[in-house]
Amino acid sequence: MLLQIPDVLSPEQLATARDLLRDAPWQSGAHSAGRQAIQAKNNQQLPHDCEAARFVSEAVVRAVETSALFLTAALPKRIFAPRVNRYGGDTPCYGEHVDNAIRFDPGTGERVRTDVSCTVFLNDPADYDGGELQVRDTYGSRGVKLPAGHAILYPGTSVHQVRPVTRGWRLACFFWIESLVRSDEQRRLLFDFDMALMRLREAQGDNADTVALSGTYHNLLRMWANT
Amino acid sequence: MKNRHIHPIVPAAIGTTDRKAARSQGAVLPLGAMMLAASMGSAAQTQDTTADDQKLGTVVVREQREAPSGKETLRVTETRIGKGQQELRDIPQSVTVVTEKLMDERDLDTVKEVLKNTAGITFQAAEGGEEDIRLRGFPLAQSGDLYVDGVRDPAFYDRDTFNMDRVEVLRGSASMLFGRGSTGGAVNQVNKSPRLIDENQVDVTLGSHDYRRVVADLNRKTGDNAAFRINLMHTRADSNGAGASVDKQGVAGAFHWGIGTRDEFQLGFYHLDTNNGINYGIPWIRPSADSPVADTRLMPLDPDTNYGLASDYNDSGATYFTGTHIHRFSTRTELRTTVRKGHYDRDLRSGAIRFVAAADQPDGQAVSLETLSDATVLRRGTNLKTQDLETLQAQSDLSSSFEAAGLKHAVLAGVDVAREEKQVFFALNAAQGGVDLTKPNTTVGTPSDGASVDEDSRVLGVRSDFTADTFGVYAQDLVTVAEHWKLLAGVRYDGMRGEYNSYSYTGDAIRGGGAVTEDSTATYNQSVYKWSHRVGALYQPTPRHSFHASWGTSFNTSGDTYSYSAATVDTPPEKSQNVEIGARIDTADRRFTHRFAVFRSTKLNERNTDPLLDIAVLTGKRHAAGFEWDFSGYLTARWEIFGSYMWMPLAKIDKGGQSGEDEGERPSLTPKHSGTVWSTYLLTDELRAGGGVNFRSRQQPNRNPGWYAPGYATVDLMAEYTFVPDRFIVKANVTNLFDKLYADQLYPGHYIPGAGRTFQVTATLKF
Repeated sequence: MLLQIPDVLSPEQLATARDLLRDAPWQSGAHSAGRQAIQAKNNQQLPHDCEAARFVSEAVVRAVETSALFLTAALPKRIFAPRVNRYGGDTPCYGEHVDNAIRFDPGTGERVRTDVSCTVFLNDPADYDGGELQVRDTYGSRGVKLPAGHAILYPGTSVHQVRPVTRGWRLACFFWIESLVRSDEQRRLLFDFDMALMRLREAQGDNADTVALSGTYHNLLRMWANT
Repeated sequence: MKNRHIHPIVPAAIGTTDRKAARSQGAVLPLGAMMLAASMGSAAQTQDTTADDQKLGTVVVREQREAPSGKETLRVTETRIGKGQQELRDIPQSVTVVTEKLMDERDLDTVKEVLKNTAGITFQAAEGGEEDIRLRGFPLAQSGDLYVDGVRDPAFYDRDTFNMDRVEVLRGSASMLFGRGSTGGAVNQVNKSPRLIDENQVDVTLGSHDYRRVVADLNRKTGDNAAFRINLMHTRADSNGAGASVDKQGVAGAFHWGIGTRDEFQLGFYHLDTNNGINYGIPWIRPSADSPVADTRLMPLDPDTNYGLASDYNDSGATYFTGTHIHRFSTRTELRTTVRKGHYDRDLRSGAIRFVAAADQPDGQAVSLETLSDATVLRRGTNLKTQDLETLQAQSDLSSSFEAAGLKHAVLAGVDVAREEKQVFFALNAAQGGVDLTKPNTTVGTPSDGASVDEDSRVLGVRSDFTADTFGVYAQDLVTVAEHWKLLAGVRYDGMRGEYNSYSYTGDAIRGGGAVTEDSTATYNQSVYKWSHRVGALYQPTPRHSFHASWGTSFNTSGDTYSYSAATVDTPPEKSQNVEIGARIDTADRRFTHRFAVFRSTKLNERNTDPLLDIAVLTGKRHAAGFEWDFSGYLTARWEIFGSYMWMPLAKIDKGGQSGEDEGERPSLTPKHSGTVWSTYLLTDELRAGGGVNFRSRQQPNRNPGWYAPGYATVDLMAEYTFVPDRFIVKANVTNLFDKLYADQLYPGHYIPGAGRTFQVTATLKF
């Protein structure tokens, strides 16, 4: 399931972030790629402990933690710290790859299973040409390019790539989520169920039937979630 | 904020005033968001805590791990007749499955009746038992073709259905799966297995001929993955509708634990005891003394007519213990091991009924329909069958599916070993220290005249014993070679060592022409080692369509009837093969299934033994070819149907035999048309009505005496009323509505009629 989450970051946050990123210590992104991905990866990344990276990371985490849409779609258990990267110039693309199933954080020693991937776009599509996030899922391949501050959720299991940027720079923040529900299919069912039920509750208010359906939702979650 | 590289979800409180949430979702929040926020103590959760807790128990995931029960369906999608658990659509041979539901609806109490409700099955008479079943005209021999839970089931007891979940009929050669036997096919009886549910059912049936039957099926879940089930049966009737009284009881129980887990166990026992009467048969008759043989007919008698003695009986029993262990290496690989120890016995005391010679008839004339009267005299012969069998069988079957070299494989492999020890007894005559009993004659007008002899006074001696040690090793692979295409190849190697001792006695007139003056023993040994094969191809363009083509072989040893003689001990096994193409097609809603097959079964070198006269019947080579069509399922939500039909236009003795069935003739017991249809319709939520037809076209008795038993069709009706759903149901059946007189089991000297019209009412209580 590909899902857009609009307005994760505010225009003010985005402006601050872009200021910080302009002078940040960019590095080759090959450092953080797995052996297979390293051949495809050609971008730049920020060290996660620099000021710019920390600002963006914290802003994004704060934002998604309070986004009802994000929470209900990703059903997050743990989030691997967001990172920031850019594409352009001599480092324009990231060819087709899949994400490592498990992310290991050397700082804390914790492991996160990458069930869901998330990309938050930090500048406007008008600032660059190309640079679409191309995701192949069960419904085919789709290119995504969103306004600044918007985010896209897609399954970690998918093959994806960032198309070459032919003009300007593409700035983005990306991170992974270990979900309470491992399967993309089940998450999607739960999400669709939840959204439809929400609309029902909005239209009719709560009654015995919506309570029963809520019970079913929770029972499905009980069945599928690993906590 | 050090080390916030990994953020456990610690959401800030979110509520309806949250800016982003409000913007994107409006005032009501999705449950997922509410829950994750609420988990940290937010006040956002407002409604569902108690409701949730109450509903927790309603989601039962485990149910799916259990196989569906035959109680609930006519249509079946999975089977173990191919050894491992397999989808029926992956079996490239014709299969008919009769479920418990169909047995209940049609009131089928014996496995013989169940088999009658499938196409292509016929019955030879002579022994009054079920070992004389023919499938596509080929005998389902004593030791080869009947199975219980995939383990060979010796054939000489009167089987009952009280503990059957379903009966599966696999048609065509299948020695690759089962070893010796299975020329016409194989019949697998599947016992009921404990289920993870508390469920009890008691059925009480009353019917014609003072029929009384009680069956209890009690199932209790004893733990998270353990259950116990016990089935009890008691049946009595003055008659089965065809002249034989019924008196039998059975008990079967099993404890099943570790269900659905890595190691699953089941311990079961089964005991059946029958003390039935027997109608040994009625002699054929011609219209007049000079009528041609081809004009031979049935006697114009009520099918319940019995000319046997009051002291005749047909006792049999089966007792076995079974232990099964399934070890699951993964969800796709399991090893199933079964060990069974069994004891089976039969004691049949009866005799063939014949007209006495013309000179001894009151009018001094040979009997025909012209001369037949109540005064016509019949003599009663002596035919005894007393035997018991001990078996110890063990088999292990490994089934695994995996990918290798880019192809999907489904492998079945296994080993089995068995020891079968059979003893056959005979009654010593006076010269040997026993008794000579003389049976009085009777007349056509005095059936069941109450005359008797003292069967208990007979002294039994051991006539023969037979010990067979067998082993088999097999492997089969079903490979998905391309999208939609599967290829199957299997091979099996069998070894059998048989030792047969035949004992003669002083004054023995039964065998050896009375020339034996001293006790002596003849010993025959035979060892058989044999390969069997099966190959097939399946084309499955959609999940609903499966087309197959297959070729398989089978072999029958001369020890299949548990005896050897000088004539048969060196006879190599008969070889047979089956070629068929067919299809299994489901409707779009998956509630209705068709199965079609065009087949040709060929026996390449045939030997047979006449059970009465002990003569070898060598017919060399023969074949049978035709078309089979099975269908089952729901046509609409209220209309359910089951059908099984075989059209066998081609059946021929290709290379002549010695006796009766000559070259170029159609073999005996091979009707061109045979089959059954059963259908029920739910008229209202309480009332269900059903009906069906069973039919066979004309067929010759074994050894082709020159006449045909006429074809027949019988009609059955059923009505069922549900007084309390899932609690109390009453069902009424009429079997053979038009009281059709027909020959059910055939022999050149006589026939056993099928049951006349019977009524039965069953009350079912579930709790």
